[in-house]
Amino acid sequence: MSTAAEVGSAVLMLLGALSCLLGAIGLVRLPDLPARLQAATKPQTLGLALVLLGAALRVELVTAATLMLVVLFQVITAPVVSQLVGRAAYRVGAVRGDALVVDELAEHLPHDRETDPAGGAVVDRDQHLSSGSTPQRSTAETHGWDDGGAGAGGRIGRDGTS
Amino acid sequence: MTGSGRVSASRVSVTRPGMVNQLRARTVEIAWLTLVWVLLWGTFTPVSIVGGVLVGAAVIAAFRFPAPGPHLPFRPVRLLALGGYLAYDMVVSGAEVSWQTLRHGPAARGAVFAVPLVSGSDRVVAVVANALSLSPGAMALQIDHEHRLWHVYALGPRDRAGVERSRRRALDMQRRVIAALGTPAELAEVERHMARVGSGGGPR
Repeated sequence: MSTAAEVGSAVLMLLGALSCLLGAIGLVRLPDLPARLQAATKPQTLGLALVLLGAALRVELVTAATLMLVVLFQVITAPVVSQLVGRAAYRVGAVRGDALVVDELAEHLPHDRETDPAGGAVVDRDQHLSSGSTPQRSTAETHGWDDGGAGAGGRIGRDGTS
Repeated sequence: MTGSGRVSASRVSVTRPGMVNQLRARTVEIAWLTLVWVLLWGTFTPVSIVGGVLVGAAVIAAFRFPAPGPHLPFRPVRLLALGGYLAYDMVVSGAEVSWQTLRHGPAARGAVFAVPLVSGSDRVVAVVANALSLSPGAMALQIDHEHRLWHVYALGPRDRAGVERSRRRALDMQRRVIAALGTPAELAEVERHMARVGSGGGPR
């Protein structure tokens, strides 16, 4: 094995370990569940990928392919878990309103939230309502959408704090 | 098995052209499962390949997969570009969440915002949701087919401008996936959305 591969492998593994460590610190330090989910998925996925990439440099090709398969499955499955947990957390009110700058989902699922995040946290509630009530005609018509609120996503920026 | 399947497919295709599509989709699924099986064994021998085909067929038969929708276009270059971008995005993502942890820690802020959902294909939506959840600090929280909206959580935005940046990023990810897998009409639509969000974006 060449020195270059040796060094590259060591660097990748150390970077991966560092990324995993930062993810673990994020789990402890970040304020609420969705933020911690980010720490549990993003730096961890990157860390695992880097460690396995480093390992792949040290083994023969077929074994390396299996390691890359592990990376692939991690990349495919981690977002699924984070989405499911995040959605469940949102619905039971485990997402702290004061840790959110904007919450546009609260408009769509008012009855799903146990804890009302009103009171300064949801800075854009009125803005969202006003912009949501003017749907984008063009797209709504060409696609035959149910246009109630469909324009909110694209519109809110224009009506923003300019 | 494939022989008899092809015969019946061509016979039925007069009345149900979807059968050909379905057969093609099943073949691709089995091929993919075979590849996974062979990679897991780590040996490219006839035994492992035949075993993979058998196991793949058994898995497809045992679990009811959703009926394949309209055939997805195959654009290898754009697909590769998407894969490369996702890998790059994963690195940026890990670094950015780590940065939020170190810089802000308990004072880190997030946002839940809406993004127009452009594609109607379940598979494209699934890929976008997955890709979105790899992009920096973001994850798909809710997919609202009725209003054609995504609700996306993102870690990092601290003000309006930050939210708009995240929204543009989410839209851009959607554009990249649709460029690889979607229809030209969907691509044009997502670009319209991007132009609107881009022009009306931040306070400047």
